[in-house]
Amino acid sequence: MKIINRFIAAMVLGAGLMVAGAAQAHGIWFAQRATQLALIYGVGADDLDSVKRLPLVKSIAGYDAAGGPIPTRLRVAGPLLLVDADSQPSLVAAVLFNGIWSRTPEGEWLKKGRDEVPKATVAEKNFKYAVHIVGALNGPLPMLPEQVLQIVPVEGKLPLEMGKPLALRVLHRGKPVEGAKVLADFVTDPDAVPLKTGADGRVTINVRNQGLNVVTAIWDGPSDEPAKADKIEHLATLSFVLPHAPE
Amino acid sequence: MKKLMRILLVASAALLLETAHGHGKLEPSHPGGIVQVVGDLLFELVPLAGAVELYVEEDNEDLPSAGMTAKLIVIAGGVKTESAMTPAGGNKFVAKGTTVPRGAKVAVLLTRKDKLTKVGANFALK
Repeated sequence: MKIINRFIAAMVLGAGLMVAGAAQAHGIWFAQRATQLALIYGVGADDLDSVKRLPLVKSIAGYDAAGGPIPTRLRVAGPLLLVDADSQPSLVAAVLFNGIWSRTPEGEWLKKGRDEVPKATVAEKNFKYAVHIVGALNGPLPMLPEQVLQIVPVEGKLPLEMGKPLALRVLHRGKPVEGAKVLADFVTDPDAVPLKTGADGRVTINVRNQGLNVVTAIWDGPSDEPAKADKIEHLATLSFVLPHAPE
Repeated sequence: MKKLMRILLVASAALLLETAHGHGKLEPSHPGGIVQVVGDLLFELVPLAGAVELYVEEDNEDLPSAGMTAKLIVIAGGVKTESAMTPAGGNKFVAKGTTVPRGAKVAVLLTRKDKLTKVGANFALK
């Protein structure tokens, strides 16, 4: 009996680790670094090498307070990718295509499609999206071009204090998605049990931080290359800052 | 003894206040000024009739405007206007010939002497 109990415990632990592994997908978001806005690649406290991933960035865009586009690019500054805009943005957005990945039956991830790894247990395309609100949100967040999966606040404003509720909607190509997994903060609580959006794409989180918040939504969509990938994993972040009290 | 205690109490309160405001005042220094803090930079925007002034401090000290450039962005009534702000001595920039309408969305973008580092601030005028 003891042996069976230990076996069951090991199975449960293993399943938990597998779930944790899936939840540890990397994402992109924007955060302030030395007063500049940087594009971060990572998960949790892992702020990984974004410079070497610059070739994977498919778009970077800035928008002014009226939603008008601003010429924007990423600039390499040492180990950082900094946003370099010709004017002051109110929104910044990026898309990174992380390629096609397949997991072998042995659990190894290879950057290859199912056509090259026919016995893969999973074969997926990975897209990462990031939208950052600069300062306060003073109206509805528009649907941004190229943000195939996007998180938008239901009301056009953010709470001023952490702990307050924030209603969000997750949209795929502008349409609400049901079942998207949402984390209130990808950086400070990446292992939280995710909330799931309802049929209207809606979910309500409690804003976690009086500071940077990186809300994340993950949703699997159909593949556009079924010979190579079974699905597309879309991972979107919406980042914003609740300002601290004046010093 | 009581007088000494009172002096010590006032002195320590003053010290506390000093450390709590280690990053400088947040009240505008100029009439009609609006303050925004970005990191350790403080931007004070002063809309005037026919001109807009910008004052910049870093770590509670005036940041000399010489050698830097600034841009003023005004969005009002769906129309966006960008104006260069020229260094005007001390920590001051000015955009002449510009008036900011009530309710306009205003932003500034400062480019530092290295011509690469840009720091901006958004203001909401009432």
